[in-house]
Amino acid sequence: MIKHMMLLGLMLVAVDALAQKKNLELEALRLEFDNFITDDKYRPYGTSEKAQAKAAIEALYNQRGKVKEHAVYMARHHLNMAKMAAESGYLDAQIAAENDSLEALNIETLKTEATVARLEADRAQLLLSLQEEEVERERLEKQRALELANQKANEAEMTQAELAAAKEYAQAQKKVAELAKQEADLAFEEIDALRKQLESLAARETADGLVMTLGDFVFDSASANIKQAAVNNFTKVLDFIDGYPDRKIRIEGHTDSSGSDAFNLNLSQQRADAVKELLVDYGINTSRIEAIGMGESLPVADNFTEEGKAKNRRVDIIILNQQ
Amino acid sequence: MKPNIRLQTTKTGSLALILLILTGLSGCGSPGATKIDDDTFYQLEADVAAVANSAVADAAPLEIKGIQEKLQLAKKAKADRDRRTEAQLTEQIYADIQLAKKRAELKQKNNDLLDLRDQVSSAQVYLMELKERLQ
Repeated sequence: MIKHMMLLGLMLVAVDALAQKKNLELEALRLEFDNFITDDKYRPYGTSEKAQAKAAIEALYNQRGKVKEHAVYMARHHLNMAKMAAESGYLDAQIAAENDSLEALNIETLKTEATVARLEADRAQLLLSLQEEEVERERLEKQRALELANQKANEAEMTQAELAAAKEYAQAQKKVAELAKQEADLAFEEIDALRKQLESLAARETADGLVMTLGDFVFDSASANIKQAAVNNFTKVLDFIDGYPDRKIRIEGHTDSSGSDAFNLNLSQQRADAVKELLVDYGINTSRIEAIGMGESLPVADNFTEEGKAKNRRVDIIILNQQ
Repeated sequence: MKPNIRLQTTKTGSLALILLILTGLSGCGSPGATKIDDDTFYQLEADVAAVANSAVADAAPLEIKGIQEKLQLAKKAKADRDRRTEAQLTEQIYADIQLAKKRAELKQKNNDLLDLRDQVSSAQVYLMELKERLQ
């Protein structure tokens, strides 16, 4: 009997312990639910699941008799589902926020990339411009260098040419100077000879009167122009005339036989007139002077030699005898 | 002393009888919302296999392991013709499948969130580099 009593006691204790265990689990479940619904992090999410879990737990409390293990399990299931639903809602919100951030970042990135691209394009354009300027500058420098080289080459060539021209000019000038000197020497010689010839003029007695003959050296060749040197040295002639101031003077022009009679007559007349004009210029009264061209009609030598022709080309100044 | 003992024995026996009745009643609770027929277990077995062969198994391996253990208990309850236990285990297994699926969904969302945060971080670094190039 005592054994039965002890067995019964043990069974009662076991049943009571089991019931207390269930009650503890239920209380733990309730505490867990309370902590869960007061968590601000999950407050906005899983509201319907929270309501289901709350209803399940309250049903356990309202249940008559001992709480069943299965019912507790299912109530915990509802609590877990509510937690997961809240976590899911929280994650959805976080994902949405991150998506928004990512979208905003992507937009800003696109804008920044566009700005960077524009900047790099500007940089590239600037670099290209600089390179083009550099190329142009180098081209201009080369061109200048080439022009300078050409200029120097031209200057060198020109210098050579100018030098050669100057040398030629100097040579020509030298020749000119030599020729001029020679001409001057010849002129001096001629003048001197002319002066000597004029000084050596001598008068001769003829039937018409005293005659002084001027050779053709007094005139330019084939011309009636009296040479300047002859004009300057006409003193001998003037002295000769001055010795007979009361007498008439006849000036006869003569030529050689070269050329036509008319030409020679004209030339002899012009030469006689030229001497007359010179004498008048020296102060001889023109009324005293008669100038006659005789042509080739009165030669004093033959006209077959140059020497004879030279003697025939003459002007005779005749101081006529008084009538 | 004997009558006392007899009285005590009678009282003790009555108490034991009451306890036995209470114990029996506590063991014969409601079978749950799930109705059990001959095909219920096979449908449950197929549903568990489908979940175990899906991506959920990789995301929630502990939950799948518990489900498969409970499936064996349900199989035993079916064999024992313990319909109440089979019904409770069936309801719990479907609840566990629901939780496993939700766990997999949460894991996927966590991965998505981490991936997004990585993208945001990379985008911030890239944007910072771009802005430095602007300066």
